[in-house]
Amino acid sequence: MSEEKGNTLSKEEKDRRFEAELMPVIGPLYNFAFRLTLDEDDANDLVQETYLKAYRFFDYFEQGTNAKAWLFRILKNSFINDFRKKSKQPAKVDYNEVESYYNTDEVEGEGEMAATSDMRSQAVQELIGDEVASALNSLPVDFRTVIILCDLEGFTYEEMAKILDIPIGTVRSRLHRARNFLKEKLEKYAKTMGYDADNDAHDED
Amino acid sequence: METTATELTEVKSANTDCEKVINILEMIIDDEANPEEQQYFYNHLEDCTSCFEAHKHQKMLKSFLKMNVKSKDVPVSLISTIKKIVQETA
Repeated sequence: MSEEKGNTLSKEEKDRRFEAELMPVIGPLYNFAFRLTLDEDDANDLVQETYLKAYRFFDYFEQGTNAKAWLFRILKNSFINDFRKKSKQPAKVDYNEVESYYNTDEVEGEGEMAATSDMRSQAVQELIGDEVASALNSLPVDFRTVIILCDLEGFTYEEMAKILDIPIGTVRSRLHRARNFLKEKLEKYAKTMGYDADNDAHDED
Repeated sequence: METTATELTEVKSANTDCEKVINILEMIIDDEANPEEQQYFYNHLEDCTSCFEAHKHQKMLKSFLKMNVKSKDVPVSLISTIKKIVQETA
């Protein structure tokens, strides 16, 4: 009875392998979930569900193959089946929060430019991060997804095709359109910020 | 007549080159182009300013994203919850 399948693992061995092979991916996986749902609680649930499914189907996972792509695929399917319907559209953009944060820092920094210039550049850095995240989050979810998979997670086109269940040609064209969208959004933002990549010299003396 | 025809063909072929190059630009950036495509691409860039610029910008966008989209820390409770559920699952 204990050897129905030949390579069925003991629970102990299965748990050990499961942890060793799949748990290291939790960071990227959680971030993917968050960028899809734009909500921390939903991301939590989605990741939890993904790992439960992965555990249930762990016998089908070939050891040593691409665990990250496998988990991303499960998560993306769970998202489509269970979360997409109830996820909030359109994406919320916290411009107010960003703005008030920036303004506060600006006021405090007045009069002691030199001492606070580090803090200021850090604030600007954070602000850029927030703005870029907002731009990314405002993309339609299919576009957002290919940007995350390719540019942030470094998946190949072939891996993306498998994760998303679409042909490589579609991966390419979707990525192309997503980037054009994003470029447009970031250009608008660069202009509002007065941020000019070609002119980063400091004028203060 | 004949010179005009030749000039036209040259202009046309330059445009087709640019078109081809722009077409594989993202594959180059994403490291998905094969060696022949890469060679063709970089050869063209050596004498085409506009494609050179396009390549520069596309590359900047990619690294800009990677640099500026911060990743969130995984809640500690999530990791322990998953381990616990898994252990309790038969």
